[in-house]
Amino acid sequence: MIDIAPSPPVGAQIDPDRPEAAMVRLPTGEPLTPKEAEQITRSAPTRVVVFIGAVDAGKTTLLTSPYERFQVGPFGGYDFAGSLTMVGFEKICHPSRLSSERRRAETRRTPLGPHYCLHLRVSREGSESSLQDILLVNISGEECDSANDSADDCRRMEILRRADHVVLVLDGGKLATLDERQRARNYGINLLRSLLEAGMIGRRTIVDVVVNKWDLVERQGAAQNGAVPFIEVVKQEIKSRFSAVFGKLESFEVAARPEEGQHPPAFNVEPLFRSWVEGSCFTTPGGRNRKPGAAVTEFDAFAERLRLIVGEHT
Amino acid sequence: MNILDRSFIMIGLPETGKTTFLAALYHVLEKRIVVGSLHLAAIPEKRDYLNLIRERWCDCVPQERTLTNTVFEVTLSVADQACSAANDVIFPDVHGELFNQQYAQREWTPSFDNRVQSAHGILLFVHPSKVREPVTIREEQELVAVIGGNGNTTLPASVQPTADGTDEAEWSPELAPTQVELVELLQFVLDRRGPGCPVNLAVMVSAWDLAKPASGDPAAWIRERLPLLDQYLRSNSGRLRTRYYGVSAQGGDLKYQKAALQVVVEPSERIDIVGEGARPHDITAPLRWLMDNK
Repeated sequence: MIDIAPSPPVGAQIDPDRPEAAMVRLPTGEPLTPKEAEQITRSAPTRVVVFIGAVDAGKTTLLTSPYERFQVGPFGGYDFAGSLTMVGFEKICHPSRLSSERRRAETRRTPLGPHYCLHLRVSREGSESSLQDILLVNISGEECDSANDSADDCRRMEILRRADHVVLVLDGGKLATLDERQRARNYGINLLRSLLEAGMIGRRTIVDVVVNKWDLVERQGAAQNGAVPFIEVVKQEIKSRFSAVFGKLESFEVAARPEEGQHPPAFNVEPLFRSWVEGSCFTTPGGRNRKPGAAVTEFDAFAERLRLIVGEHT
Repeated sequence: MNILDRSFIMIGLPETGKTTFLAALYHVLEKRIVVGSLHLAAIPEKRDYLNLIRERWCDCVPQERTLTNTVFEVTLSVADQACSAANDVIFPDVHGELFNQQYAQREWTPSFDNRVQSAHGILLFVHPSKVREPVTIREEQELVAVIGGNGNTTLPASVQPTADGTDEAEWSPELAPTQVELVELLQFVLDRRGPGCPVNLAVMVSAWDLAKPASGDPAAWIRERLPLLDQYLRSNSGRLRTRYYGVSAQGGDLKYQKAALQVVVEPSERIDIVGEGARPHDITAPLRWLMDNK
């Protein structure tokens, strides 16, 4: 005897007043709170990448550029393997899409407030076994301004203690402009020094010095001699002052969303992204660097660090 | 006779061919005319819905849109032509708009949740002409420049830009690219099933006659048109065991080719299907694979 499920009559409606109709909630897809981010780091090896820099330097655009590139294919040798914050990404990317009905692409400014995280999971292209979680945290330009002025404000950026990478985003457009370049230079150097002396970054940190808007540098550099050499001086100054005190310090020249057609979207972001996935100074008790997908033995240490953040925001 | 329940779910946004597939499937199962196909071990006792959609399919009449809050659940007792063992396969036929709602509201019913957690397999439907792509403003401007425009983004007539041209449509779930929505739906499924519960997934590219790339390979079509989904499936192959099929259940476009399709004497010969293990016209091939894989 075959048990046949009866077909409901045509047009049968679901009765929303029935108690058994209570819905099952699904993940929201919004940016993670620090507490939610802690759950990620507890459950799997996770890279934490924190973005700092002045207002309008392009931190948010840079942060979301790998997600945008995954929309068209693998990026930096990695496949997109999932994200808990796709709604968060979509909202940020929306003003640069045709569906926004804008004339010019834009990225909304990061509001002040708790350090919400965007999440990506990637796998090495063609390999399912090497999954790596990445938390991308954007610190608003206004908070960075405050950190430049106050050690106490530096110490409020607890997420930096747990960061595998701190990405200092410098506005290439301002560095290439005679009226603004010294201020832009000093801002970045002072911010690094402030955070270092407050103990928020140090030997456990990989610092990526990223000159963003490189398409503007090239365009303005052609009109105003000295833009590119000036930026080289800035990079060398940062290297000579700080390379001995951080775990690693590297420089990159990128254009996360170039205006002209000369450079592709996320110009030169691929090597930077690869370094986020593959590089960390946090070591296992045995002294080996954690590799993507490797078993982790220091959950509690990282969870403890993140408890500092949770305690601050609850 | 060995009878095992196999519950499947069909996931697909609106008008991606789920009901048409079910209609053609029922016809092939019942007719027992396609070489190598599964067949009905017994016709269902309640078959009004199946008969209705089958008749429309045979007559080349478009299926009526399933009402949003209606779920037609069909149970089919199917067997392989090679042996007498039968399996009950259960399909809820759900309107595609329900998946839009699930994505937008981030919730679903307890009964659907039970289906997800107990499903033996999933059929994921995509339609070539229903793909919403993540086109950037820059891409659109470059395209306009190539075809001789002035590079400015063209706004719909309903939107009157302000002086600085910053009029904007706020983000809403309806604007999400198709591949984003499909990845999210699959993430919901895996989240509810938990890590130790992999599931078989048959990706069905509908209206294959429209999509057919030069390679004739549905996996290549997914890679080209839905690259985010492609990467996601590759990266999660341990939890989503996937096969790809290109299916034209109608055999052509009903708007332009109806007369030519109607003269085909045996409707199952209109079916076009490609994919691993799929014989000509055998629309049961994905089901056979899903049933065979534990």
